[in-house]
Amino acid sequence: MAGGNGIRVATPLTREFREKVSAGDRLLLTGGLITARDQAHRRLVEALERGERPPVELRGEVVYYTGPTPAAPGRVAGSVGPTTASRMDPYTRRLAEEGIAACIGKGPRSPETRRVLAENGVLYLVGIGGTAALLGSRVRALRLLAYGELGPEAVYELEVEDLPVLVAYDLKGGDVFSHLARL
Amino acid sequence: MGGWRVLDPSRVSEAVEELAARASLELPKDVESAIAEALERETSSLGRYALGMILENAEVARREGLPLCQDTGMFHLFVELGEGVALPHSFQAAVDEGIRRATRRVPLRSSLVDLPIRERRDRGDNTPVRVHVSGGGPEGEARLTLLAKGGGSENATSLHLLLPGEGEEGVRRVVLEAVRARGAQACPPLVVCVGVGGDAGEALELALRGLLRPVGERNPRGDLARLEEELLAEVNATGIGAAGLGGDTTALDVHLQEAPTHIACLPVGVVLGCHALRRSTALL
Repeated sequence: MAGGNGIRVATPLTREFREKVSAGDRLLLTGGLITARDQAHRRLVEALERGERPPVELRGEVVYYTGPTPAAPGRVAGSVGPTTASRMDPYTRRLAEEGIAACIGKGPRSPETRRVLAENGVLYLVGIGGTAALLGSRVRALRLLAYGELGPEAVYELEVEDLPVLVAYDLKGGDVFSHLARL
Repeated sequence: MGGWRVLDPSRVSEAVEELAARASLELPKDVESAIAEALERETSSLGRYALGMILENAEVARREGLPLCQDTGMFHLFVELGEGVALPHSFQAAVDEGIRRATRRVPLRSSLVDLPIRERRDRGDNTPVRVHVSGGGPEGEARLTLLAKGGGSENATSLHLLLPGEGEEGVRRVVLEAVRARGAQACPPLVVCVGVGGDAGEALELALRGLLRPVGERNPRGDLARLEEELLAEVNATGIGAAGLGGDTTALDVHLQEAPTHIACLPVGVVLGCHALRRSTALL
């Protein structure tokens, strides 16, 4: 089963674990994550810039760039796949400085963001874009944390079991997208 | 004119609701087969990981009734009217009602916002649907094709206003530039759609309509069919790969379409369709 293999690991992702894994490693994540995409990033960073405490604790978190579909009646979650990570690049330095442990998105980031992530010990993980039904089926609980008026762009807390992701940028300079820079 | 039939708005809403649900949950057969064939040929281990996951996703979506992608997209409805069929005045409203119901029923994500410059307020119902009307349907019927287009691949669309003398070389160059610059972000394996000619708007419209053509079907004109095949080989030679992770499968197909243009112009629209190519067709 394609979505079934990988190194099983529980969140929070320790510094030791983050330093050990390499770009291209397949992981199966279990535990808590928070979601944030464009509008939530904008609000979190604006709050931090104003010197306010954001409504969610960021330190040590795994931030999943996703805007889920609503859950059908009787289900925990709908489809929950990664969105294009480079749109979060302008906000990533601030969140990295707040101490997030990892982020999950899809596709390559800017060289600047790749540097910022490594400097702050943040892993960049990717899910396979467009596999949101499979990824959503690994969500065991979902709860609204902040910015509910943003609908799909709100911040949710997810509890996942064996969420298949790939290490895209490790902390040693490894990059699964390095072939794209040579195009 | 006595034989004309005007489509019943309530049947339009029902049909659109059904098409939207089906398109969101079921990967079309031609697309799924093309991905399965690509997996057979793929030599990269990460490429096989991505393609395997994409096929498994299609299975989970169908089985569990979960949308293929969390980005359930912006909806386009292509209407091909046959002889003797007309649209009611309330057609747009009827189509929008169908999408509103599908959004609640599946449920789909609300992916459209009002006031895009500043407030970006969630609209809540995925309306309005972009309706494209043409002739060419079977006599006495209307062929409705619903297409769901995600924002990630939409951001990879481009328009290139070439000089007439740039010709075929210019077209090849901009298609490859578009794929190299934005292909990895658009959820490859892609269906690369190219519209050449018309005005700027029509070039993009022709490209978008390329998503309606079954994967694996060539342009009926021999010279354009060859150009499609050559472009497909060049796109796959970039090595971008499935999910941008490297490998042999950057695109499943290239669909190119031409239309008459102005003597001063050579507009080229490039639409990069993601692998979750969601479309569904019905006759009404």
